[in-house]
Order: sequence, then structure tokens, then C-alpha cells
Amino acid sequence: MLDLITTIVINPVIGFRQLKQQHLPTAATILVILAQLANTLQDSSLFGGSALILSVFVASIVAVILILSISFVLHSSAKLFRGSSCFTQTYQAVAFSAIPLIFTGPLVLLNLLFPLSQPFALLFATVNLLLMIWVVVLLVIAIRQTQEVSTMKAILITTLPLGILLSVLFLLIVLVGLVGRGLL
Amino acid sequence: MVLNGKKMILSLFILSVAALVLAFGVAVINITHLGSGVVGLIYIDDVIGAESTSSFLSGPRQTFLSQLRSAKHDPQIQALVLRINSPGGTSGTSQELYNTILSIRNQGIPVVVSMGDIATSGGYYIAAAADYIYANGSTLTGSIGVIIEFTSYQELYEKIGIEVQVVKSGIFKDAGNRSRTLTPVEEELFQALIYDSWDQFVADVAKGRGLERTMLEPIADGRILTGRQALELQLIDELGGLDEALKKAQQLADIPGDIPIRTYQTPRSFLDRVLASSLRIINTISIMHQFPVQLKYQL
Repeated sequence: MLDLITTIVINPVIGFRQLKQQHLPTAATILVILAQLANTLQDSSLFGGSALILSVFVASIVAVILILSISFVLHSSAKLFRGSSCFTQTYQAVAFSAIPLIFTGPLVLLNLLFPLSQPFALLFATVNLLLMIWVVVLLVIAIRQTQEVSTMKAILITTLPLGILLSVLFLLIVLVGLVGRGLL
Repeated sequence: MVLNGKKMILSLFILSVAALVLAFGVAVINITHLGSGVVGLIYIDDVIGAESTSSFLSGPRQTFLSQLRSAKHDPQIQALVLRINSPGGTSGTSQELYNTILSIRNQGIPVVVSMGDIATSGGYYIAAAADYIYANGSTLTGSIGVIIEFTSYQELYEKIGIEVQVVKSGIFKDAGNRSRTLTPVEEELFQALIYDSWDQFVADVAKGRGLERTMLEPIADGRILTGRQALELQLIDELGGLDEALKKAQQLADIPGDIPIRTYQTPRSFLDRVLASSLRIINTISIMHQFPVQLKYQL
């Protein structure tokens, strides 16, 4: 498992190829929870009271559901492009793409120990942006290797649903808002 | 070489996971360790109003009021700093924020305000509830007053041949209707409304700042002041920025050592911004259709 993680980080093409041969949904879920923990703990100010444990618990459940939903959407999208994997493999691919987010762990800890340090905010923002780019690149590679499609198709499989989702969401909110306020 | 790289990545991954677990532990200890004092920091950096943006993915973004409530009920908060950068807003919400800040003060938590570029009208209203106010020399503040605006399309409607027919239960029910100008009786009504609201505004500022009302009234004519002018008129306590405000809060709360800060502003994700922009479109469209009667403490 740890060997697979390091392979994905160093050589994602081989790593995701290896991942396709394995059945690791539990490990994938643990990775999602860890990535979400890193994300949640980045802003300790959100836990103004004693709701930390509950927040982390709820955020973890939401993250798993979100990754499952994203996997479902990407899996459906991949099917349109004649992708060749089962849902569990897509879920694993998406979850393992989140590995870079876990690397913010030391920064999260430092930020909690020294919350006053202003440079941390800038460092966090930069690191997060770079990690997000890394995650997206990993996701495309993961889709390409798992679905056995070309890079262009993998990019389309990854971006098309997101584009459609955001457009539909935007239109839906505008429409619902206008209807709700009796303007349409 | 690859093996070394693998070992390094593996170590980094294990270290990261360990750090996350440790961070979780630290956060839990921070929360449960009630003995240590924290200075709360809230950014009031928008037009003041009751609305808040929200999305089903990220949950509701906290309004200024709910951020204040969170701070009020946070057992670790020993002092509160409000960074105000607002031209004001609706009268009801400004008043509610003022009262909430007063209740925080009454709870024994010192509240210090740091004004940014602008803290006028409703922005000043809420600042007046604080124990201590800092502003920069060139901060725009003051503008103590109330405003209500109506647009009359009567002449335009007449030109294009539109007649709005209104059936109403009382003479004032359509006061402010855009299809006609205000009648003298309606003007009187709104003027009385404005004066009553202004009276409450001035009374609250006098109470919050501990000033004589007679001293305040001559400058409560809606005039804008710089931070330096406001200092001369005792509307603020000292010239300074956020750092000074944080130090003052620490001093008032008697917190030793470094200033531990807890901000209550929730960060916006990309998706949140997309959703917020769509909500803004809806709001803009709906404002165009709304009956335009809203009391404002705004520049």
C-alpha cells in the first residue's frame, strides 16, 4: 500500500497502472478522509466552540460522499468515451489522486502551533494552489491509466462533467432564484 | 537514486499523516483548554445587511451577526477586535449588530474596533458600541445620518402612456410607489420615520461613546469625517491600525505573551465564488423589481 503511494507520487503512470490491478476501496476511503482532515484543519478558526470533532466527522462523511459522486460522474463520462474499468477502480483512481493534499500535514500542524505567523497564510495559499494543480494532473493520469484511453480523452472525461456541472448549477441557481422570487 | 527518492517520499508521507493526526490532537487540546485566552477577530468588510451567501456544497457563509454570536459563545474568547471596512448598510441590521456588540461588552469581553479605509454611517454605528476605537488618519468615518431614496417614473410613464392602477387598504400603503411622486403627506411620514431612526442612531452613538447628546447632534448631520477629525470630535479614541487594536484588546483582556488570534471569517472556495456570483445576479435582478423602501445608514 505504502509502496503504491510512493510509486503514484514518483511515477503516477506506473502507479495508477498498478492500482488498477488491485482492490483497495478501504485504503482509498482512508486517503480521502486524511485529505479532508488536512483541508478541514487548515482553518482552525471555523471551530469557534467545541464542534471540532463533529466538524471533522461530518466533513469526512461529506468528503467520501463527494468523492463517490465525482467518481460516479467521471465513471459515467468515461463510459461515453468507451472507458474500460469498473466503478471501484474509478473510485480508487479519484481517491488516490488526492494524495498530494495529505502532504500539507506538516504545514497544518505548524499553522496550528503558530497561528500568528503571517507568512504561513501566503505559503498555504501557494502550496494549496500547486497541490491542486498536482491533484488535477494526477486525476487526468489516473483516468487515462484506469480507463485505458488517450490523454486527450482523459482530459475530456475529467473536464467535461465539471464544465457541464458548473454551467447547469449556475443556470439552475439563477432560475430557481428568479422563480422563487416570482420574477419568472 | 529512485530508491532514495521513494524512501524520501515514503518518509514525507508518513510524516504528513503523523503531522495531521498530531494537528488534530493539538486542535482538540486548543479547543478544550479553556484556561488560555484568545482574541477574536471579525472582519466587517462589506455593506451591512441581513443577507448571506450560501451554497449546499459549502454550507452557509456566516453573516456578521452570526460571526459575532459565535465569538460571544466561544468560551476561549477574552477580547474581540472588529476590523471594519464598510460604508454602512441597512438600519435594522446595523442596530442589531450594535446591540450584539454591547451585549458582548456587558459579558465582560472588551471589544476594540479597527477602522480600515471606511467606516461610515452604519459602519460607524456598530463601531460606536465598542470599548475602544482605532482609525487611520485618513479613514473615512462619521456620516451619522439616515437616508431613504425614491425614484419617480411619473413623467416617463406619462410620456409612454403607462398608468399604474393601485388598490390599497390605506392611504400610505403605496407610499413610495415609483409610478408617481410623493405626496406632501407621504413626505411628512417619511421625514418622521427618518427622524425617528436618526434619533435612535444618535442616542446609541452617545450611549456607546459616553458622549453628551448635545455635543453629538451638531455633527450628526450626515457629514463624513477623516479619522483625524473624528479623533478631535471624540468619535474615535486613537489613531492606529489593526496591530494597535489587537495589542489594545490583549491589554484590556490582560492576556500575557503573544496574541493568540481566532478569526471568524470563513474562506471562500472557487465553487463558493461561482455560486455567490450567481446569487449576486439574482439579487441585482430582484432589487430592480423590489419596492424601493429600505431605511439605510449608508454613505
